[in-house]
Amino acid sequence: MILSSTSRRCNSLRELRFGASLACFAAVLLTVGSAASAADEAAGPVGEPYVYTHWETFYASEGGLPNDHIFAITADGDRLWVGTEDGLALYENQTWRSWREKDGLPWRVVSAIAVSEKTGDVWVGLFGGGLARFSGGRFDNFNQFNSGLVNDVVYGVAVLDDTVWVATTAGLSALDTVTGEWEIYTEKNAPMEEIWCYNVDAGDGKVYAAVWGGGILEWDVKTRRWNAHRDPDREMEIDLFRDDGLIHIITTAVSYVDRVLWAATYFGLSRYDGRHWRGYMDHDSGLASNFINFTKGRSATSSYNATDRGLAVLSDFSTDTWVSYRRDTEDAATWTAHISVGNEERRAMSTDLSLPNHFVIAVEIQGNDVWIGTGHGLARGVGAGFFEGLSTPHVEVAKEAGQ
Amino acid sequence: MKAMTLLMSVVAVTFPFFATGGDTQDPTPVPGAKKQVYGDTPEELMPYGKFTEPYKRFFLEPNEYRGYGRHIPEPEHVDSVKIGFLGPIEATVSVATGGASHEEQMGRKMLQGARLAIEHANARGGYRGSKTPYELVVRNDNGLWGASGNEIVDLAYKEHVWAILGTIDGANSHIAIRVALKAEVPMMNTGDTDPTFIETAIPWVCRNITDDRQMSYLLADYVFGTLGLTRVAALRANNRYGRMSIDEFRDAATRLGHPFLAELNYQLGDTDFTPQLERIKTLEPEAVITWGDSEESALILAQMRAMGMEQLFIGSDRMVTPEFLEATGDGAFNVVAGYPYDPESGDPKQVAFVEQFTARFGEPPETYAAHAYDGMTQLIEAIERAGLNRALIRDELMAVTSWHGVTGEKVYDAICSNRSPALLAVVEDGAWTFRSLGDR
Amino acid sequence: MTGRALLLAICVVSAVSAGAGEPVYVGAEVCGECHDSPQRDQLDRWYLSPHARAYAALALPEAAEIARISGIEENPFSSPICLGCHATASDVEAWQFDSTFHIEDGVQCERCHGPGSEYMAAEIMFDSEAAQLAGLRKPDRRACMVCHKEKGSHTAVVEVTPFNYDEALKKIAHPGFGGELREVTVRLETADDDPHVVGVMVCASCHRGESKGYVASKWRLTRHAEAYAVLGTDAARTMAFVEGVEGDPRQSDACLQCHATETGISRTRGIQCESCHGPGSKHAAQAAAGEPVAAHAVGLFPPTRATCERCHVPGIHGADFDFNSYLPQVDHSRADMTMAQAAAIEYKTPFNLTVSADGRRLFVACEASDSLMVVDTPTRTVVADIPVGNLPHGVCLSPDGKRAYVSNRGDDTVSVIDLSAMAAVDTIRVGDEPHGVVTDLAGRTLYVANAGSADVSVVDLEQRREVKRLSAGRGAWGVSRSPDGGEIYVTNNLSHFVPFRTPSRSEVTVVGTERSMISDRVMIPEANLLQGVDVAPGGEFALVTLVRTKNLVPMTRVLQGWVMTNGIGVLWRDGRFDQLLLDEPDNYFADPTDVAITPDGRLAFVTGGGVDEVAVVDLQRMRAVLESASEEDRRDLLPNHLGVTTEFVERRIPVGRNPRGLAVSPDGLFVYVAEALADAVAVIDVESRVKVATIDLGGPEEITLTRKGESIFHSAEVTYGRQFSCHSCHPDGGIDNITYDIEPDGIGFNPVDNRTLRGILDTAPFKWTGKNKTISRQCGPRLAVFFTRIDPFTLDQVVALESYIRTIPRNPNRYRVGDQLTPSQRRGKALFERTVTNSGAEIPVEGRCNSCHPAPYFTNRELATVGTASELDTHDVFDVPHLNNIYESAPYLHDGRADTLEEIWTRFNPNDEHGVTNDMTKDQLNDLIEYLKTL
Repeated sequence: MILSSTSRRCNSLRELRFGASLACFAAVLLTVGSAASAADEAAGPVGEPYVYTHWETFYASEGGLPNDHIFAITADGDRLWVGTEDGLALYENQTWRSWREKDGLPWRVVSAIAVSEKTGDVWVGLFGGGLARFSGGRFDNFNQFNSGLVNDVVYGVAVLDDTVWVATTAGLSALDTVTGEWEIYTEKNAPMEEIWCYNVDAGDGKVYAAVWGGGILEWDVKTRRWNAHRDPDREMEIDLFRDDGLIHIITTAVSYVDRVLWAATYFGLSRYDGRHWRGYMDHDSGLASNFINFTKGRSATSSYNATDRGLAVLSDFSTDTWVSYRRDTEDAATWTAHISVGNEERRAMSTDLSLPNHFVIAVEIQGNDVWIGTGHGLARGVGAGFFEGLSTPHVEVAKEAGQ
Repeated sequence: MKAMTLLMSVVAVTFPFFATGGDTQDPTPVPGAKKQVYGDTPEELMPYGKFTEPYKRFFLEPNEYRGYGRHIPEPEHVDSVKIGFLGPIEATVSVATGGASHEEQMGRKMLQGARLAIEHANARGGYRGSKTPYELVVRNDNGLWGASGNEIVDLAYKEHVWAILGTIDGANSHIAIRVALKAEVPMMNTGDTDPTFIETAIPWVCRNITDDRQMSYLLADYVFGTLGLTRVAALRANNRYGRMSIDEFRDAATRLGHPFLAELNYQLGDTDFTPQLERIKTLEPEAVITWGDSEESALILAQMRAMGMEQLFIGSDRMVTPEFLEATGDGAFNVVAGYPYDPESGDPKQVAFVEQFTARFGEPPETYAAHAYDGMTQLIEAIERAGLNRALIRDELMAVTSWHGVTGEKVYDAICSNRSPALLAVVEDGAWTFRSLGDR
Repeated sequence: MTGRALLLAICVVSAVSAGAGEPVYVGAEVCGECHDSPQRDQLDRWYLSPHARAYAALALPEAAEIARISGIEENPFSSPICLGCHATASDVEAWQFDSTFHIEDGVQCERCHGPGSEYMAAEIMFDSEAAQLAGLRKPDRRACMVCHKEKGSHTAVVEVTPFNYDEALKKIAHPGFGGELREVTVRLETADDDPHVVGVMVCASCHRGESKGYVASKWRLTRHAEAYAVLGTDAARTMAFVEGVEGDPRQSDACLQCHATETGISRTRGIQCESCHGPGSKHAAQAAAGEPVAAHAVGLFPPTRATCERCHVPGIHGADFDFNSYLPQVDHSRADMTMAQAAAIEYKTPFNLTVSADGRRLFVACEASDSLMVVDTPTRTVVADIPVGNLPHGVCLSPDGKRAYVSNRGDDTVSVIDLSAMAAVDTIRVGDEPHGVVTDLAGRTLYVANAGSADVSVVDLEQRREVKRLSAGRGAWGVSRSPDGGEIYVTNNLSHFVPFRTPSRSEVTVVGTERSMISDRVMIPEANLLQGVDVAPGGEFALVTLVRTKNLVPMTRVLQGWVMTNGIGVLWRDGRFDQLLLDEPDNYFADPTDVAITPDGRLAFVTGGGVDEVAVVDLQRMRAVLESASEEDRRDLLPNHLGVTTEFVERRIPVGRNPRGLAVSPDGLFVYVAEALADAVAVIDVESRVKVATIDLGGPEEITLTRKGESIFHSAEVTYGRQFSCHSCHPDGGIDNITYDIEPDGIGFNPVDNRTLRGILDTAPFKWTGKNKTISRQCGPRLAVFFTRIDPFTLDQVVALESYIRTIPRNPNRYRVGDQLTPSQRRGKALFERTVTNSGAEIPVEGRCNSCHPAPYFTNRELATVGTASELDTHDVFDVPHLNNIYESAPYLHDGRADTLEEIWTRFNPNDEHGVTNDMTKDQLNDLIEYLKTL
């Protein structure tokens, strides 16, 4: 009863200006801070975002990975595929297998990985080597010389039904794996202001391409039509309004989940729910840096962003709650998780993540865990007791409140 | 009472998280009170300047590189210190550049300049005086059926170059730096004047040539300010160069209240421009501006004059060639262009360079050769200071704020783009003369 | 003369409109508007020429025979190959024709002069240069020779006088004499509802094709059709003059009333349907609606003797008219006069078979009769012959025994047979050239090996539709399910692409049935033609049949007996792999095709398609041989060892011609073997290891020449030591995609890629050097000297062999749907036919695709230099290959260096010698290739 009246009260405060709410939030953290710092606590105290405090790290020197420079991470059920600067790796049942050029991998630099749900084939984007299909232990190479692939410099790969979409430096290629027909999309047949495709994601009958200098392109499989999302102010050196649309025309990654689009740029992060845009930058949110290499939407309200200053996680969209993981200093032994609402830091929590550098290039979600790849090493955040959004009030609290 | 406090705490707990909805449009204060200006943009040419303050301004802080690169140890031994060269040497075709390449002439000059710089460095004793020579690894910027990206991958992963110089074509330059970013190789651009080239937040890129932004500001100031003209029509190449590079001048014209009377374009390889010119003529412009290669610009001017159009003819730096003057002959009057290089500066460094260059190649240098020579020398200096580590070389490159070379004093902004003022190239008595901002 | 109004107009304005810019075909009648006058009578001259009858000629029985011996299975009127030379613009899309164009006019003006819409206007035609700019072509020798080169198919059936270009030119010369354009009359439809003539083309729109007895075509072959045109001849003039007609007979009403049906432009078509059946304006509609009674009621009347005698007045032009002797020439009243294709004798050719769970029924897929035959095993008699699709190959049963599934490699489908109704109840579309079929244990999923598309179709049997494709090796062929149902083993007939001059590598693809995904790929070195497969009852290993082709050593080694060795592969559960030969020195086991293991796991039976034997392998002894050998020997020695065979091959059981598939009865007592070329099934008694019976499938007694040739083609008797047959290198008449080093031009020189035998008769010359003018020469003595190393074929054998090879059909093209091209294919066609580069520079004629590769075979049958000679080649000119179904014959170029069509231009055309292509962007090259696949 009282709770409900509470929530009514809170709803009525929705319109309150951001700053006005801060004082209260400070109060919250005073009351919950100590409890939250217990790393292994399953659900944090009331209204807390989940924080990955326990991490495992992986290095080539330990004999697993073929190389420490990680470019791509893709979960395939319980299996995890990792693309490095010198080989492809598979992590399964706590053991690693890897393939380098001597093992048939057509080219050493693996920049993207996508797994076909239908056939189980693994489609590997090769940075300068085209595309490879890895199936039953066999690599087939599709490149600009022996196939219809438009260019060998591949940045992103996505599979939707029977079609493999390939983001290349000279346009978007689509391979129909049943007919073998290749389609090339450039400024000739798509609304591409530039044709430098950086990333592609697909799902739910849509294909999204992050085009460097071309914004986000949206392909509707049913209607076979393109739609382009661009920076409304049309200027490189400014962002005119915060939420008027895509932050910048130079996009680096795109993630489409639960009908929400997350678009990464080197100028911040954009979210689009089909009607409204929301922009995030380092000065107005928990985004550690505007320089985002990759983004992975976990849900419509949460996204994981690989920045040059660590992993920036928007844990809860509605409350603008962030957890940003990074090294606080060059010589820090471990990374620190910074919890913030907007760009107002609330509290820092230590983690045992010891990767030597926080230039995060790739990020992937696997069940409750999160994986990040950096210029030197791979790490897994163990999501014991992971929960979406914010933790809910403790039953006891509710009980007491009820009295 | 107890219940009361609890209630408060619950409220407090839940309260802030409802405070902001994701779709609210509340303006958030712009960071930093002090007004910084990117690209030396004059107040009156600021985008939306008359309208509002932008929510955020970019490119005012240096692009930091926060990666692991600096920790990579130097190799114990190298036979040579390889530096990549990427430029249009052979004619090719590609999707990336929208068809046939057309910049081989400039590319060859650029290669000469780069080569001379390498030779001079080796004459000085090579890498850190160790007699280990610098080696230029040359790649055409547009491999058959491919694009510059393939070549950069090749340079970075097969040739293991320490830095790369290149290129001219806007598309190929953009593609190249995106690859350099991922492969973590420093790049010095000495030939692409596309303003957007540097506006990419890539911490591995430096440009030593004055871009079309600066040249456009200069031309706008001259045309609308000094000459007080108001009626300008444009006829530009329908390729990426023409499209991107005229942007800043068009925006300037619009923001100064003199939007183009018309902006027509032509296809690469066209030789007859009379249809477009006839249309332009009916608009009675005071000036015609073109943005394209020397050959087409010359034809346009010649045909203009043949049609009795004696208006001011404005063009891009690519038009500033002897071939242009030969082709236009008597028509070459009332002609002006922006230019990033003063061949008559009389600067001792430049005089010596022209001498050595001409002796070496049997022909004089021009802007692409001179900028390539300076760019390559800057790269070599960075390597000398940093040692054989790409990230440290990049740090050294970015640390440079001003640098004096054969092309004069280079002033770099926060994102390592040269902001030295452009020159005004004017045809006088059938020859190009160059004026700096001051003596205009 | 009825009250119908006549309007005078000159041809310039009456010209039909065309899509601006895009030239379309307007048809001869439109040309005739200007070219049909005493000064310009090109139309009549053409109309009297064989060119004008070329389309109609396809209705002759000879045409059907020519098609049959060329391996063309469709009706000549619908064959792109036949129409390519017997019609005009047969390879363009519907929108490229104007309504005035009639394909019935055969080889008409625009065939040689190009589509007319853009140049036909008189003011353009008067300016020769302008006309050519607008697309008017002046044909040259090259253009004529595309169709007029000697064709084996035609010389074999009809009397063909050798084509002499210069003589032919004189024959068809059609100069004009200039002068003013005459006015022509153009009929306008009026309100006047008197019946009037609509012209033969309106009748022809229905009275065509086999069902209508090709009436329109037959009419065109009569003198009636040329009655008007002959008036333009000197003979007619003379006769008219003698009979008192002044001037041009074509202007004389006296002549016209019996030499033309109407006065409009189509009077050129002479005496047409309506002269005998009455004006059609009223009855045409009813006739079309299939309302003969109504049609008759409004004026459609059957002609009588009197009808003919209106013109055929006895003694006219000094000739008598004998109605009864004339009638047969024009009679088209009875369907039995249709000139349907000559029916060929139909054999059965059983390919694969399977036995029902109770062992009482045998199901046999018969390729030649397009049917599934059902045999009652107790009585060993045929109880049903169920029609299925084209070229059935594999057959399997649903686990509950209620249905049979048959793959049809000729039309890319699987037929679903209801075994209670003994009839096909459904057809499921799958990949290209489906071969092996098998279901999972539950019978919910069907796996189909597609040899053409190199993949496995996964079919949901409840929805009866393909749900996905799994990438297999190349030429996916045989399938077998592991006893526990967990895996499906798929053999692959072709090797993967391997670097030049390295041995083959062939794949056995393993599909996990749990998620229907690829679980493993076993790569078998130095082997190809993996076809049959069976898994041991315990599942510890699978057996596959294979051939070890030593294509890297020159054929001279045949004498040493070591070019093709034939054997089996053993895939162990742990992924290890062994190879063993079934050959013995000087007694090889050519074309091992299928394998079946007995339920007790003791024996394996292997068919030797080329030697008419079934080998009995003792699996215990086979294991002993392997287990007693060292790892090295198992890897290097045994796979090539001719000496150990007798240790595990118990015996070879002689069976009928060309044994293919085989199956063991569930009780393990009998093995049934499909004797493909004996139209029979052999019954082998497992206990005694002898053939105890032959089940006759009821094929025809007569052995045609073609059938004899087919038998020779599949027999290794002709090879030294019986090492291989023609079929060994040309499975299904296709290719083994291997490059060979053949001796005649020196050992180690001139490696040549194997070429397909499908539909090649009229693509002579043969060989990459183009040295062989005919198939019979190709298969003649030289073959014996350089390949088989034994007595050459006798003349009779060669004739029979050629008779078979030329009938090997080409598969239907999978990339062309109807006469519509996809946007990409359409853009590609424009590139294929382009004459200027992207920058507008003219491409020299020899640098254009369609100069050397013109329709219908897309070869000019000449030799050409395209800059592909390697350091191993002693010459640089090669036969221009035909391009039909080019997608199914990778690798490409004379030495097979290009794995894909793309590589021909991205890697091997640096100097634009093989067509001007280096100005193209990648998307254009893709379009070009999408078009090439449709040829």
